[in-house]
Amino acid sequence: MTCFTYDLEIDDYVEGTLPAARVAALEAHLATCSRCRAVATDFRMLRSAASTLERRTPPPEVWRRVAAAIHESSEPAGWLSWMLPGLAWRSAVAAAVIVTVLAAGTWFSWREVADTRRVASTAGLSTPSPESRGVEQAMRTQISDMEKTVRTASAVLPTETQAAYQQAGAVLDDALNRRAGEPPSEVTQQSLLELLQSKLTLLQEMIALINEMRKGNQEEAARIVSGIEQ
Amino acid sequence: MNSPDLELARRCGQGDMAAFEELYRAHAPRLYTLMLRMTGSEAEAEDLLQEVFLQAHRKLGGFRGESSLGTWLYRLAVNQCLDFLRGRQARMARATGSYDDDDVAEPVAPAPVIPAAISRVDLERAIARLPHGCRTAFVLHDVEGFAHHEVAAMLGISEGTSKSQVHKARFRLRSMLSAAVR
Repeated sequence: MTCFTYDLEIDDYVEGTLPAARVAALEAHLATCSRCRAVATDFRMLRSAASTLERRTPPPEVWRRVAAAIHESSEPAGWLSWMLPGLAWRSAVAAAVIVTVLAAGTWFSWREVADTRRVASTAGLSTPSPESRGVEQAMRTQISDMEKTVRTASAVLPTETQAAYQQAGAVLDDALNRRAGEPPSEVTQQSLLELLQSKLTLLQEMIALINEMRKGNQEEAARIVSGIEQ
Repeated sequence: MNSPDLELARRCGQGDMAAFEELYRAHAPRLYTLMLRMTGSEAEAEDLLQEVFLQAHRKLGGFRGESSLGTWLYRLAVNQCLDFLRGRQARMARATGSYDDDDVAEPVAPAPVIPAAISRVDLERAIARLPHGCRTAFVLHDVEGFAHHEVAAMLGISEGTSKSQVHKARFRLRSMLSAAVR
């Protein structure tokens, strides 16, 4: 065997991973070859020195840069301007909410006419069941809690979006009040529950949007907006 | 599963900057040192460290504790470094038309050439001058203490290639250090 062949084994030897069957042959070679013995000694020295090299501390400005970048990315204004420059974004959200409200308003008007006819044609139908009343009460409680949440946190929303949300809420509340003024029946109760469900959906969308804006999650906020638009 | 790690990751995921700074202080020196040795450049190591912690901040919400936070961060750092080095290697290959030069001037020495009290500064400098392929394997194996099969898995190479890269690095370092002491 040549020194070159032994070279490849010297690495395993200094690491202690050379198979026992090869150790004796290599040691016999090292005993007679000063060149390979020097290589083995140097490799051992290198390995020992490399394993004791000290850690270095990064300069303080690296943390400052990391913290600044995180802070910047969590600023609503930062991602809003990145996503849709200037007023385009605000207008888009406001428009989406208004579209939803107008569509809902039209649908409610249509439902009112249809329901009035149905109520008229089914006079004497049973009054709302206790279960149905219970569902209504639970939904109203949930709506009240969610309204408080939106009221507290809506400052992160653009003014236009807040205004559109207020408008949407007013339309729904008006429809709900009119329903509540009608003679109680299972039909009007179902219509009332549908209105409450619409209000819950609107509030859920607003809370989700507020949360994503706070987190600076552009993708999810865009998805919510596109969901409102549909 | 390490519950202090999970708790720290949970706090970081909720946007607690004090918790994230705690994470940074605990792990940045180890990652920075690794990056410094792998890139051979302070400026590049600083940029990479920043990028790794920004990436960690984005991904911590998904940390499930399958490994320790230290190991999780270490993997992020190694991958980030390797991506960077591959890009740099490709740029250099375009500029020079070749990767590492393979000529190793082996000192013809009948006696050891590396002094017993080897200077850490000289060794750090010599490591920084290694070609990137063998430097990465050497740093992970001889400095960081990973076994060849672990180095191979991290770099996506065979165990035999890891061994030959470390071998090449040791010969080059021996050559450089013998020149340094002459």
